[in-house]
This record gives sequence, structure tokens and C-alpha cells, in this order.
Amino acid sequence: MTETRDQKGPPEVLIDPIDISKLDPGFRKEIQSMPNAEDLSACFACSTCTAACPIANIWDIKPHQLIRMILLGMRERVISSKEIWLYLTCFECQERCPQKVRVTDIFFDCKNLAAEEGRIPDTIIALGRELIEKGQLYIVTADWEREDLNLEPEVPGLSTEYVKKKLSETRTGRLVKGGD
Amino acid sequence: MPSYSLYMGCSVPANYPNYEASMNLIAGRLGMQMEYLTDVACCGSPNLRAMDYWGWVVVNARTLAVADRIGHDIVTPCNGCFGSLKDVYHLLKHDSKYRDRVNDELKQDHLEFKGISRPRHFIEALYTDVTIDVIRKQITRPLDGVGIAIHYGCHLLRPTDVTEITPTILDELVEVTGAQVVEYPLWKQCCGATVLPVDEDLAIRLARDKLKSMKESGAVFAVVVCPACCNQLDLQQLGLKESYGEEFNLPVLFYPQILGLAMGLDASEVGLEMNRVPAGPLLQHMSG
Amino acid sequence: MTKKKKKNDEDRIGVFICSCGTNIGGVINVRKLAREFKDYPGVVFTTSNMFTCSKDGQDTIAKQIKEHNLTGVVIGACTPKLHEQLFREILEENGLNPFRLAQANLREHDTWIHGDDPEGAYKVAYDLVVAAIERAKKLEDIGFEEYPVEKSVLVIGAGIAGIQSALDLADKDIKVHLVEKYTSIGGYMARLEKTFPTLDCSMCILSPKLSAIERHKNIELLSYSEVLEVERDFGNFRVHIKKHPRYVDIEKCINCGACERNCPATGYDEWNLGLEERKAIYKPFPQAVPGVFFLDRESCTHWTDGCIICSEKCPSKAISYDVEAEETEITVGAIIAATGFKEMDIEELPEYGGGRFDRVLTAGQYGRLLSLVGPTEGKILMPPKFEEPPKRIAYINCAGSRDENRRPWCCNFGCMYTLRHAEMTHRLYPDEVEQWIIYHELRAGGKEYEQFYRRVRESGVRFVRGFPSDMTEEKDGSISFSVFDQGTGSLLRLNFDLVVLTMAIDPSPGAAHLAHMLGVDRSEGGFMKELHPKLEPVNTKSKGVFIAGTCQSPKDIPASVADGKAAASAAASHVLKGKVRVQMDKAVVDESLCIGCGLCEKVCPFTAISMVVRDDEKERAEISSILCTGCGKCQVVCPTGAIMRKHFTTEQIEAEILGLISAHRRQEQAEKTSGGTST
Repeated sequence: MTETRDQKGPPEVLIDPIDISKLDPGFRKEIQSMPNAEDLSACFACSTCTAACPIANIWDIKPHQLIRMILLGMRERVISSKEIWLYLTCFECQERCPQKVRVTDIFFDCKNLAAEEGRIPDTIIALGRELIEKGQLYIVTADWEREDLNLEPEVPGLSTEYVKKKLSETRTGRLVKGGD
Repeated sequence: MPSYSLYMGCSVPANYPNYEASMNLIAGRLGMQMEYLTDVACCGSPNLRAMDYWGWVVVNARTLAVADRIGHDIVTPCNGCFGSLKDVYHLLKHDSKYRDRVNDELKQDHLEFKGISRPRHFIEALYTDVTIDVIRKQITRPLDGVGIAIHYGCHLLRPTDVTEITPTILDELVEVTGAQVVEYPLWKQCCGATVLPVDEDLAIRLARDKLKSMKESGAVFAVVVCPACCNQLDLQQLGLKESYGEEFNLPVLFYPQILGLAMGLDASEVGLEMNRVPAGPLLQHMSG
Repeated sequence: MTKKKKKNDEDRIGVFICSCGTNIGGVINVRKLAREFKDYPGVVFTTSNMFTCSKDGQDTIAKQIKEHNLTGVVIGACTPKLHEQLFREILEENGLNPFRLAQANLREHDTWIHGDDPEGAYKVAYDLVVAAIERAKKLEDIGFEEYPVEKSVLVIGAGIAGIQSALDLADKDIKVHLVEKYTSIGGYMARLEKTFPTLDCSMCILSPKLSAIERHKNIELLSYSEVLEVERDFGNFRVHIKKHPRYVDIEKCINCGACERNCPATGYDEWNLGLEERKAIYKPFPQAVPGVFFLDRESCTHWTDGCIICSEKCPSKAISYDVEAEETEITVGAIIAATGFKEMDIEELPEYGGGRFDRVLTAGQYGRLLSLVGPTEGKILMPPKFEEPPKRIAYINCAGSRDENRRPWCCNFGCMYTLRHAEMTHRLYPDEVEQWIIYHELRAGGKEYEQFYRRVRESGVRFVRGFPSDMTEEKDGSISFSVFDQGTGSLLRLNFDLVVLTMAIDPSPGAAHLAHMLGVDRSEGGFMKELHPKLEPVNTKSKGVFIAGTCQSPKDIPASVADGKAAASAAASHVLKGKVRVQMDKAVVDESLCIGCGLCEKVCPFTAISMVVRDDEKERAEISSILCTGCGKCQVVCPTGAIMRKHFTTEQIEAEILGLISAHRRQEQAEKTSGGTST
């Protein structure tokens, strides 16, 4: 039943609810301004994305729940989640969404936001380090294999300088330097 | 004779020169003129996009701008590179703000993204420009209808509004070699490559599920068109023995290898011995 | 005209047993059954067919009537409710009086219940057909009477459904009497600022219709009036209407508003759904039709304190306190009830404050805040002071609806109504107000409604699928509650400056009484009942009475307009023929046998019988055949047998029962002689 005007604060409940003050409407706008996220608000919580996801069952927070959290404004929950990094980028969710919400692109945006705050697995930063130091992810080590097939031992045309320079100037550089 | 600018990325040349070699050989036989692009960079893979969107856009835009100078379509054999290039191409074509920002950056190197060169996957160029009929005429050693399971790979097919590729082209390309396409329930499922750096167990599990599904549906071989997918399905079979104690013995080949053999190339030309799970048995299914 | 059969007239009965596909034929052998009657006394023809109601079956009956010159037809088939009318027409078309049909229900009364006992079912079927044959021998010709029907219609209720009906009827040159309880026509639609999904200005699209009503030469508008009594008069309805006094002369009032400005008394504002008080003399909205002020006697202090301020201030001397209520009587050929709906009382929802929390409003009240001619002139301001706009609003859908404890039905337009409120509020205060919609299921079924829903999602409204806990009022008046959001799977504790409840929908007060007067049944919730839920949406069981709009069940404006048009069409069909045909299978009195005891008059539930004095100064019963429904009570109580309910006379009923008994006995005998099993 309803309480009277005498009480001091909200009633104590057994399960700690999330207070409205923690639901930041700016978060939705933040994501919506990022690439390919314009249709984020069209989501109507049908959970088809979750049904389409091959690994949804190992996520504690399901794909559709993460999208709803963005819409409600649960910034901390989304950005700090492990789920956004356990992400296949297989695009099935985006493919199946009946409202054309670009779910995968939105998850990429979330990852970028998380990376900006340094919340990113070390192994991904390590990939960034490879790109900054070597300019490529995979280096030819077995050049004799190439020669056996009548290919040039060095990959023709691949230039590494630009990548090294550019990525050290952008967030990759910041993340890698920050880690060191 | 169609001309293309060839963008190899860094994974195929480093890890799978057999893919590169077989691709070049059949391209030559089928009249595709492919010239390696010079002064281009690694695409960064989807993990760069996750970490540093702007960096990823610029790096790939540069590749597109370099190709624009020559004017031919870009052809790449790797799904990851194809996905990255195509996504950036789509973005810059539709978002003028990003295009202006990018061109500002590229101006320093006297480059400009114009959108002339379309990024395409080698398989799609083969299907659309060369066509099945032309390929069919060049088949001298067709396969005997052996069952082959196709793994398209996520970034080749999706998102459909960006890639514009239908999941039937590889079926037809495989069938023209004389093999029979085996349908299996998990054909659309991701191989797990992207999540490998973050959670190895999960990636292994995904690879295992795919191989199991292929095997149970009666496939004798598998075909891929991406080095990352090959890594997951071919190389991981060795790791699967350790983690799950399961042996699949499902050789995984790149499409140009199969086509090359059917067109009369021999095993060493297509680098058959470099496939991790021994792919020699394929030869027994070829006539002649 | 009745034709009694003479004793030496031969019975020539035709028997038609229907297989009804497998419904009957799948349980009993219909051909065998038909053959049983080959030599039955009085039967000259017997057959079976697959579907008697099909063209083939109809042709068979037609042919046999002519060939064998039948005097009666027995059909063993499904329930008469379905095809009796059709079969009667076949008889009539082929020269036989339609009431010479006796139908035995072998399906609903036999094979559909005894499907597990084919032998038993066969025996029952035999009994039933024999009973029908015996009844058919006693049937008589019965005719029709025609009564004139007035080319006029009474429409009760001038909301959008009633208005549409009235306009459509008037355009067909039918005289319309439009009765409206409130001082102005327009109903609920006139209270809306905009309508979903087009966000048309409601009054802009409605007021042309209001003006058309006022100006149409075929429409007589009786506003601020009520229907007191409805009586049937042969083919017509005699309706007593009371016109309440406005105390303001419609011709003289110039709408200056001086009376309202100076009036010292206030009363409950029904137009604004109780948001604030209004003066005792007032005009609900500028475009009201009739466009004059009216004085509400209950809140006025003239009769208690002698206040005469308004009449003094009135420049055109339009106000007079000596006006009496007028009663008038009209005769119409048909009636359309379009009495509309009301929101459920908020007091019934104690978990949402039950009306005690200032900051909890109903959706209807919120709609009045949005109205540019409403109490806040279109600004959203927080009650009770209405000074500041709220920063955070929550809309709770399904308040009281879809709830077995309150109103089990869906209110049909609530989801769209809420979306409309949210969209309009968003346009007024795009950055200043946060809006949340707490919903059960979002139903946006009508044309282009789904696209409207998408638009509202895109405007930044937060949607939570879940249901609120009990609401509590904080010290600053704001409202808090918890809700489990099924979308994120988390329990939230939310707080709002203003809460809007989309209330459940009831029929208007007085609908029950009106339905009773009109002879219309009511469905769950008290909504007026249509004749058939799928196929007859505007007709009712009462011939000549139609229903339209939300009084039948909650619906949105396009559906109400469609109802209005449908009811107008049905009513026009009814009155334009100019007459109504009444079957005379009713009760009749043989005055030579009547002893004037008056028992029949006492028991008749439809007041169809009256005792009248004849020339010989003795009283005799007289029955009105149009009021009589043929219930047969009078026949039961008449001590002399003077009253006969034609087509179910005592003689006919007895013949049927005796037929059943004799058939049953015959079958038992046959069983005994054949030693157990019947063939």
C-alpha cells in the first residue's frame, strides 16, 4: 500500500533497485551521435538480436538488454561490461533487427567509448602496440614458403610507416603509451 | 580483360602464401589482370575499429585513396580486409562530414578519397566479372562430387546493405569444380576469430561447433575464403585435439586451391602441403 | 389469414432428412432413416440429402412441394436458428405457407451429443422426426401484417459516432432528432487537442461537423436533454424526452461572458474532468454547439441565496430563472444509441493514490492540460498550483485495464493515446521535460499507428516494459515507485514530478438504464450488446434499435465514425421501406371463449395485452400483435383456451409430445420382438 507523507526517503526494499538519478539520458544521445547509431531509439525490445546471437547464452547481460540499458541511460553498466569485449562482430543481430537498429555498429561505438576511458582488455591493447611498433598485425616470418610458391619474399606494396605514424597520434597511441 | 588493384592485407602474405599463390595463378588463367597496390597499409582488423574508430577510418581511407589514383576496383582475398575497406567506403560515401575530415587528413600526403575504386572480395569479382560459364570451360579435372562444406565468413556477407553479396555465389563456384555442396545447420555461424584475443576458450568452442556441424552433415572437406577463418578452422583443429580430445580430420582449403586443381594446376603450385590438416586426400577425388 | 384444415383434407407431408456432411450422416444412417417413413401415415414423400441448405437441397424441396402437392414439410437437420428462415422462404416461393414447416433438430439435439452412441442416436432421431411429422399435420397457414414506420430516427448521444450517424441520416432526407445530455455536443473528441496518429487539431476537424449539425434542416438538436421513456407503438417508437432548462435564452445570448466573469459560485468542472472548479454559469469551450452559456442549477446560489448577479450583468437580458423543464414526445421509426464512454474512477486504484495524490492525473485530465482552450491554455503545469512545468513525467498504461480485479478488457486506444500525449509534450518541451512510458504491451494496430509509435520512440521517450509498484508521495509532492524493466532485466526506482494514468474505459453513466428502456442487452462491463459479435456490429436484438461507437465497446475515432456510418445505414434501411413486416405467429384471442378474467394481462411481460370493454359491456382481452413476442405465457394461464399462441398452440404441442411417445413405444416393441438389438 501507499506510504504517508511522513517518511524520510524511499522505502527500503530487499533488492537494491537502480535509482533514477543514475539513469543518464545523455548517454543515449552520446551513442546516437556516434557513427551509424541514428536508429538506436527505434528499438522496441523485441529481443530478436539476442535470439540471433550465437554466444548470447554465455553473456550475463544479453544483447537486447545492453541496448535497452543504453536507452535508459545505464552508462556505467554498459561501458564497464565484459560483454562488449566478448563480441564476435558477426553482424547477425544487426541483420535480424526488425527496426533496422545497427546493433553491431552501436556495440563498436560502445567499445570505443570504453576504450577512451581505458576500459579495454590488455590483449586488444597489445594488438594496438603491434600496429604502432610494426605497422602491421602479421609479419612474414617464413619467407621461404613464399619463395617456394614463386612469390616475392617481402609482401609487395605493403607500407608500414603511415600506420605507425598515424596510429600513434590517435587513441591507439594514447592507449598503448598509457599502458607502458 | 578486367583490371584490378590487388590489396593483400598482411595476414594472407604472412601466414597463407598458398592462398596468395593459388589466387594469382587462377586469376592469370581466367584473364583477370591484378596489380599489387603499393604504399598501402594494414587494415587493422575489426579490433582496431573497436579500439580506435577514427584511426581505423583514416588508415583504410588512405588505402582507398591510393587505389583511387589508379582507378581500378580493389580486390582482396581476406574477409577482414574486405569488411574494413567496404565499411569505410560505405561510411565515406554516405557521410559528408566524415569524408571532409578524412580528406583534410589525406591532403598532407596529396591523397584524396573519391570513391572511384570499389573494394571487392576476390570471390565476388570472380563470380560477377569472370562468370561461372567462363570458369566451367576451363575445368579439366573436375571433382567427383565429393561433399564440401562452405564457410562464407561473417564479414563477407554482412551487413548485407554494405557488402551486397548473396550467400549463393560460393555455392555455385564450388559446384562448378564438380564438388557437391554440403548444407549444414551452422553455415551462417561465426568462426570466432575476432574474439580469439579476448577469450581463447570461446573461440575454440566456436570452431569446434562449426567443424562438428560440418562433419555431421557429411562434409569431407571445408572451403574458406579468409585467412582468419582458416586459422580458426584449420589450425585450431590441432588445438582441439588437446582441449577437447576430438579429432575431426576435416581438411580446410582455400577456394582458389580447389579451383586451381580443377583447372589443371598441380598440388605444389597451389601450395597444398601448407594446409595444416593434410589436404592431400583431395587429390583422390579428382578425375585424371 | 389463417386457414384451418378441414377434417377431410388429406395430409400430404414430405420428409427430408439431412446428412449435413458428416455432422448427422457420420453418426446415423440418414438414408435408412428416411426410408422408415415411406409408409408412415400422412407421409407421401421421403428422402435424404447431403446438405439440405445447399442449392441442390433447396431445389429438391421445391420440386417435391409441387410434384406431390405437399401440405407440410418436415426437415430433419440442424438447428432452426440457422436455416429456418431460408426453408420458410422456399416453401413460400413454391406456393406453400411458410409456417407449414416443422424442423427436427437432429444435429444439436442428437448427433452432436450422442456421437459416441450411434444406435442410441438413431433411435432419438427417429423419435424426433416422428414428433415433427405429427406436428406438421397440425400446422396452419399464418400470415403477416405490415405496420407503417416513420421516416425519422432518434439518435441518443452527440459524440463523434452520434454526430456521424445524424449527418449521414439527414443527408438521406431522413428527419433526425439528436438528443444530447450535456449542454454542448461534441463528446470526448471535442476535449482533445490533437488526434493520433495524424496529430490533426481535433476541433478543426470536428467543428465543421458540429456546425453542420446545427444548420442541417433535417436535424432537430435537443441539447441538455434526456430520454425519459421509450414505448413501442406498432412499427414506431414513442419517446418521452425531458429538456432541462439552461436558464439562458439561446436566441438572446451574445456570448459576451459577463455572467461568468461575475458569478460568485463554483461547481465541479465535468468538461475538464475535475481538474479545477468552474463558475456556476459557464460555457465549456468556445466552439460549443449550441454556442451559448448555461447555468448549472446545482451549483448556482440563486435558489438558495437569491443571487441574481448574472441576470443583472447580462446586456441582452438573456437570463431568466423562471424557466421550467420541458417534456416533449416524439415518434420515430428507429433509434440509434451512441452514448459513449467515461474513464474509470481513479478512486478505484488505491495503489496509485486513489485520487489522493495531487500529482497523479488521468490521461483525460492530462489531455485537458494540453488543450489550448483548457485550464492551463496548453501549458503543462503541475497540480495543484499549476505554476511550474514538470521536469519528469511518467505515463502508466493499462491503469485498471486488462485486470481481472478491475476491468478485464483492453481499452483499445490507450496505448496510442499515451503516445500522442508524449509526442505533443515532446514538441512543446523538447529539452526541458524527460518522459517515460511504463507499459504492458504496446498495441498500435490501426492504420499508420505503428509508424507513429516509431516516431515517438525516436523522440527520446524512455520506454520501460514492466509494471509499477505501489506509488508513494515524496515530501515535495513528487511520486516514486519501483518497476522491473524487462528490457534490461533490472529493477529501477523511479521518481517523477507528474504521473499520468491511462485509465480503463467504462460505458457512460446511464447506459444501463437506457439499454433497459430500449430493450438492448448488455455485455461484460455494461457495454451495449450487438446482435452478433462478428457479423452484426450495429444491430441489436431489439428490432429498430441500433448502437454505435464506444457505448458498444471501447474504440478509437476512425472505428467510431465507421460505426456511426454503419448504424445510419442500418437505421435508414429500416425506416426507408416505410413499413415493417411482422409475422403473425403470435398470441390471438377467440373473443367468443374469453371470459374477461384478466389473468393474461397480468402475466404478459411485454404489456401487449389489455382488457377492453366491448359493445356488450363485457371485458375482453385484446392483444397487440406488434408488442407480443410470442412467449406463450398467456396461453398457459388462460382457463378457457381462448388464447392461442399461433404456431405453438396447445394442440400442436400435444401432437408433438404424443408423437414422441408413440414413436418411442413403437421402437421398444420392435426391439422386444426382434429379441434385443434393434436394426
